[in-house]
Amino acid sequence: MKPFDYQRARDLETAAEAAQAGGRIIAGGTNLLDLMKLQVMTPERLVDITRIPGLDRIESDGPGLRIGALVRNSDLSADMRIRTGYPVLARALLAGASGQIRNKATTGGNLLQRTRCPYFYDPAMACNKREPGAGCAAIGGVSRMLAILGTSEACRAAHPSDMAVALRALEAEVETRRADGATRRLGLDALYRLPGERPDLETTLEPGEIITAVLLPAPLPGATQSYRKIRDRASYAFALVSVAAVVRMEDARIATASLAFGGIGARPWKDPEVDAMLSGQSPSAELFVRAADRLLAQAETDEGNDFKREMTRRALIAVMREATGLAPASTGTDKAEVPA
Amino acid sequence: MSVGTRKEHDSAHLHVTGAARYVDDIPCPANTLHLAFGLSSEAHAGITALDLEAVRAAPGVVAVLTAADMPFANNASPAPEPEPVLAEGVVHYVGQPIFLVAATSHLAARKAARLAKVDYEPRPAILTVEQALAAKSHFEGGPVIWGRGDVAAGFAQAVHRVEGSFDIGGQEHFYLEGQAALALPEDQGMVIRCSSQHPTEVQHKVADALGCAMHDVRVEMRRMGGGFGGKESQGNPLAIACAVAARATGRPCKMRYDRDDDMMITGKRHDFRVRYRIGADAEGRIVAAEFTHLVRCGWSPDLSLPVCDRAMLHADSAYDLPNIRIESHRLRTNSQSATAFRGFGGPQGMIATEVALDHLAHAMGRDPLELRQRNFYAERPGAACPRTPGDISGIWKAGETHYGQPVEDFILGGITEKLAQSADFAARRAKVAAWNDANATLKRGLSLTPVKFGISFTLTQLNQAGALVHVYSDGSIQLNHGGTEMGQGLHRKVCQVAASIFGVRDEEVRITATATDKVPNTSATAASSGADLNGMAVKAACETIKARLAAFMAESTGCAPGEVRFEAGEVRAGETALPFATVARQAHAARISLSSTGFYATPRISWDRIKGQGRPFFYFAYGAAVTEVVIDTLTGENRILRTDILHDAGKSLNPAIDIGQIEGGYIQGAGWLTTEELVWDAAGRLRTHAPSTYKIPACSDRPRIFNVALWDEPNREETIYRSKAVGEPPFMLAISAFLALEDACRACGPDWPALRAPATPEAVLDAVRRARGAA
Repeated sequence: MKPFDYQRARDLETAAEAAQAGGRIIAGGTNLLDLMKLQVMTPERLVDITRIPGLDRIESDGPGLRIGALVRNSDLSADMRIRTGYPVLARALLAGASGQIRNKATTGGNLLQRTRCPYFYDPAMACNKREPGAGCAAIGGVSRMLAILGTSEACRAAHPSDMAVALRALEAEVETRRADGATRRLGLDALYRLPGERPDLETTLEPGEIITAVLLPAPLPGATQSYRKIRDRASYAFALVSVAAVVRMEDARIATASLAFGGIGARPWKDPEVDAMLSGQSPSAELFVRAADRLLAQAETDEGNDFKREMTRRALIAVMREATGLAPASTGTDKAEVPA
Repeated sequence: MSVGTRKEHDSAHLHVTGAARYVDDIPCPANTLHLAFGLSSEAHAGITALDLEAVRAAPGVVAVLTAADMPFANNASPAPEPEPVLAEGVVHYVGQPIFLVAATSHLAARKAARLAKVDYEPRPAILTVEQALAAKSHFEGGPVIWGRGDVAAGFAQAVHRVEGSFDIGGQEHFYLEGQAALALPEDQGMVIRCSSQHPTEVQHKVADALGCAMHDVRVEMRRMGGGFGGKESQGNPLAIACAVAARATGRPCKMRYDRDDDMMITGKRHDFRVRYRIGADAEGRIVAAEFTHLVRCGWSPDLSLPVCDRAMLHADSAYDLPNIRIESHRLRTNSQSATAFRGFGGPQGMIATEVALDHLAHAMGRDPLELRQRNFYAERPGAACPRTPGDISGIWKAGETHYGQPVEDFILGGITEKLAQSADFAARRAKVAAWNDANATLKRGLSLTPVKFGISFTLTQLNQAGALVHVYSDGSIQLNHGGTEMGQGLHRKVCQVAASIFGVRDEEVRITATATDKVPNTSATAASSGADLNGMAVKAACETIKARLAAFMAESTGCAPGEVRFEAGEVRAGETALPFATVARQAHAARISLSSTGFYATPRISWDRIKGQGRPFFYFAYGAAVTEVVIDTLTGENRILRTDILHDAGKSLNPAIDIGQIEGGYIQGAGWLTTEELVWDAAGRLRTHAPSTYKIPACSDRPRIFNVALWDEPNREETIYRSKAVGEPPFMLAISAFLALEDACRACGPDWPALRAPATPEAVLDAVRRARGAA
């Protein structure tokens, strides 16, 4: 680990100033410290925001919820409002990491965690995300954990978060505080960049801009929510493929469907055309196959991760069958309960 | 031309007369302080109280430093993961430095270091492979798995199968000169003189410890009294300690480990347990092989990960194995942090395969040598000369290793055949059998084993080197390169390169101490690559100067620069022939630069260590050895009777030095596999921490008949004068000694003796009992 300075921020203003001056914000540190130990990231200064008051609360926000950026993953997954109204989020959180890590990891930090691409983690290998212009050793390398959608010639890395996949399915937004003090809201599609030629630029956050909260819209009454994660072992592993679904049925038809995918995308993946294809239709195996074809139309795979096409297809179909009632609900598929 | 001739080590006379200066021989300024570490007595414990009052009050003590007194980084690690120089509240092995004493003498510092009162809160210690596996105590989160083909399908076709488990002991480096460093504070920054294979890393770590940039630290390294990998990273703590203490006191500081401390503190060769399963078809072609490497890496990563990688890369030994799987567990244990040692994991990977092969031959009732030859990689027919473009015929196809590198330069078929002939292998095989039939107590054993060793650092970026060459106006030449001299004769070889290019005698060339301000950003002198890399860098620098001199001579004589020749101490152009010194003087007067840097980066290599695929090695070095031994079946005592070696050093730069390396490598390897035994007790204490209990081979342990010859063919790759690296490969020739002992044990009974390494008398006795049917 390289020596670094440590600064504890009292409020968002000082944190923003320090971050704008090149400081790296640390909250739970569950990813950043690992990366520093391996010298993948070598910040000169850490700005600890965990003592800033007011960011660790889950509050009502009109009909929805406002989740402070410092709310711990474990607290968020245990919150009754989340468990009843947004079970897909609780399921996704509990599918990630381990109990100890979830006790430290924060909501904002989870969104901003870095990829687990093994070539990003090994400073001896070329990586455009770590060192722009260095090349990508992952191309032709071990690709099992890499993305198949949204990649570029410069980067094949997958976004590792489970939580963010559920948030995309829930159409959550993030609230940020810009360096000048102004607040803005943006959807996750606007937060995450695709790698393109600059995979080192992962978000649209400006220097000194800090995520302050995640905003959940009102829960959909009667919707079925599901999170299914497929991985190499039963716990403490990143997703090979994961699917989050929020589906509302009306008269045996799919009124609305919102699907998001993990493990396969350069960012938590959502394809509005897939959702549109499903909405208003009668559920059927044939419909789900077409939706999967649409989702995977642009997928690029190699020998090491070609299995993800079939795995994604099957995961989508299985989740949709349960969410639409074609198959009995198993663990991971829940009816959202909306408080009266 | 100097290259290719037999020349003694450039410091040979200094070595034998005692005039060669090592770090501890450097005259120190009068107020120099001497340092010693206070060491942990526990294998794993929290430190609840550290009372250093008695240490501070001891006679001669000037300063006592703990982790809290380290002004900047407290980190000696060669790996990304940090490794504290002084323990930070927790100790991880018996012998771990906890605090640092600076006193007016070496003895005063050592005495004071024993006066500390340390309260420990013991924690469970992980000492054995079993404990580490049960606790899932892995580096990198879990095992690394590489391979190729389909092992299950391979075993399905196998007619013969054997499986077993083989324990391989570690090894203390036992460099004759112990670890040592000296720090001299300057106005700004620090000068370090040390005994290190890696001056650039010392510079880097000292700079981090002092909170300054690398340009503020100058590291000078004249020579080591042996390194063997033990001074690749293990010298860092001493240099850091000296620098920090020198900064704290403003006085020069020197540290050298006493031999006991050296053995307690520093890392050693990794011990391995290898579980193997191997299967062959009816003809003896190996169709499947599976290895599980269980490696005790010690408390910190150090260089363990690349060491374990190299063990995996040598699991094929010399054989084309279509289906192979290797699972490597890098276990974190509460012991010294195992480190680089000649062969860097290669010997352990290779010997496990050779043992498995003997086991298979035993089960099949076949001659092990025949089985070996049957499974060799394909050898290109009639290819005795360097490759030229276009001569790769469609008929011959190179075998490919399990990591995807084609074996284009395989010559072990020829080497084995020639050696078997010169060593009279077949006739001696019969004689040994006759002896064993006639003698009940003393049994003889004979074995021929091959070596194929990959040359290059597996971390591709390390394969680079720099040099700095000056020609002075009197014609004398001074040069400097990034390599370090540890007795291996690197400076002599590099000097021969320069002398050959300029056509002068070796005496005209002087190599100065390795220094980080002359050639920056060097790699460790390791991976056998010293002469390959630095020889090429020096060649590049010399040729730059030579081209300038040739152009100058061409101009004054009117001939073409290409026709200017440098030979026999003269520069010859057409009718003109001038002494080299005269040309140097004239060129200087004509304002021509007589100084140049040189740089070299190894071509053709690339390596994806995550996938375990690529071309990590520029080429392979080969060799083979025949060893004959005798064992006493009543006591387990054993002797090496005769050894015959044929080794491939390419077109040798210096046959005298190369043969010395081969002899030394073999003896050191034989020590590893026979007499050198590291014993830790149940509390995790190393009980063999001095030559009284740890036995390296002595002169009388050498084979009385010791025939060493060079396979004198040029390297097919374009290395320095087509030579081959020779530092590590001969170490593995000693595998033949171990398998000869196993062969002798096999003569005692029908069962597989499962001899463990080192083959101490106890181990031999156990193996004899097993051969005779004891469970």
